[in-house]
Amino acid sequence: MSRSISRRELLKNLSALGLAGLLSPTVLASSQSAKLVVVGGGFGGATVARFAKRLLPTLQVSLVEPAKIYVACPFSNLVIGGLRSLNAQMFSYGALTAEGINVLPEMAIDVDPVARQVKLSNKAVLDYDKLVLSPGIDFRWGALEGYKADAVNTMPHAWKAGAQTEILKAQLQSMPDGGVVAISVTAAPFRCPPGPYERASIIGNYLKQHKPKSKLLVLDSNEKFSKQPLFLSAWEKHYGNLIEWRNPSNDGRVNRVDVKTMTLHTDFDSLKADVVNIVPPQQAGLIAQRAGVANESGWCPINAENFESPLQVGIHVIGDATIAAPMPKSAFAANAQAKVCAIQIVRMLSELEVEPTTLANTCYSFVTENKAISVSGVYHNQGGVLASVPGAGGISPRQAPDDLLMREAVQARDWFETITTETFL
Amino acid sequence: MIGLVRSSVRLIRVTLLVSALLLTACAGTDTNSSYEDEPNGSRLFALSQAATMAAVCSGCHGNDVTHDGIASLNGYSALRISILFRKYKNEPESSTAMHRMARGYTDEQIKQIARYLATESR
Repeated sequence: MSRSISRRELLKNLSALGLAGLLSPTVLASSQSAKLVVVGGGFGGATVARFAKRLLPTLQVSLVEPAKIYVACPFSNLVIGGLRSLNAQMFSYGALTAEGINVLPEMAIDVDPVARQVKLSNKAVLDYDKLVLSPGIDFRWGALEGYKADAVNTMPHAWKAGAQTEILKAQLQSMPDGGVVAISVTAAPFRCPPGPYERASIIGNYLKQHKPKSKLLVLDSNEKFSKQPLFLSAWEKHYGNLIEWRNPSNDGRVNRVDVKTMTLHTDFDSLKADVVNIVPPQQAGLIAQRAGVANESGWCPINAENFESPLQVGIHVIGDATIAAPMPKSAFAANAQAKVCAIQIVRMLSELEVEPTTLANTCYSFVTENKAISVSGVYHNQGGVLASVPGAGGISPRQAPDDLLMREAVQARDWFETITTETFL
Repeated sequence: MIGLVRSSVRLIRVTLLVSALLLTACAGTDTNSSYEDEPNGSRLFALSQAATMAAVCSGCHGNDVTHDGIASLNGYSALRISILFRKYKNEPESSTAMHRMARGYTDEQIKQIARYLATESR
């Protein structure tokens, strides 16, 4: 105790005397010219770049992201349902550039973990001391038979927001009343675990208002899903027979699609639909495979204390690309992981030991245009493994009154504004 | 939190060298294990366990005081944050995400987070 008091007083005295600037300890020197490269400009990548730069202003930070405008996935289901403009989902990197981050609108095409270099699509090569990969997801084309890259204009995935979001929205709007919409959901793990069911809710909301004779089928490769009891009761209450969910036990697993005939083939049957939305099989973004940080599952194992890859020294991975369960593949999780990762990287560059901490997540999902539900979790990362804190987390109360769900919708909107401000604005 | 971090960056710049010096001076005795006594606004405070825990908060609690769904914590004292956080933790209901998350933190963690948020928001 006496030591800490004297340290505090020493600090005060040194500052008062202006002596600090005369001293140049090695701890600082080692981090002064360090280079951080971040690949991927989503909720993980943009956040880690910003926080690392603020924590260590001398750090040279580059952010590699081919898109000049980022289109956020959270809330994009509301765009599909005609409840929100796609413009409200768009963010630029101007604020990051203004903070001294070198934003490069290129694709990272390869990583040399030994030479510690990232190769870009314009043939430039970036040296790094620390590399953070936040590449999100890529689709495993063909893993669902018949669903290849050229199928997405006919059967949109809309699982990366942007043009795909608009295609699905337009297809719903041009569909006749009395048509059939099918959503095929791949087996977990995939980006945004409650996303397919929020999408079903919001498409259900659109059909109920504009095309009430239509039918929405959710064909699911999973027996159970996120916030299931809350979604199922909301569907029954608000959409009645309009939404039908089938799990594999009820022949809901789609094994093959035929784009030409708009047909989905399940274990025992086949059906045609007017609008087909495929949530495709996924894996970590391609650069993770190139860098050698993904394992045979296609996803990236991590030491969850600092998000460093156990497969490559000096490379950290955050966000949807990671194997972080029970922490989900969500924007909230990516943003939280990014901030912890930034602090730990600066600690490592400052020759401080990495420390375990506690992280959390909340995912809001809209069930109607003004009602939402949520799921939360709290996670320790001690020993490099994320584990749920017992007794914490869970979903909104069952049979919650409408006013509670409306408050959750307001909270969801506040969350979107705050997280996008922290990440991009 | 951006504002919080921005303001802390200024403090970090001022105290960066001093903190680094202290680190060197205390080598062998400083264990990294507790930042309870780190000066507010110092670089070590910004890299502390309290900072990593509080990092989660700023994804929802921003600077916009017009939000009536999720409060901005700007201007809140550490004591006020602690009391509210523990109230969420101890209420039996689960009507908000905060109730369900608050149960994952010990009173000591809540105290550290509250102190960090109160300090960094000024």
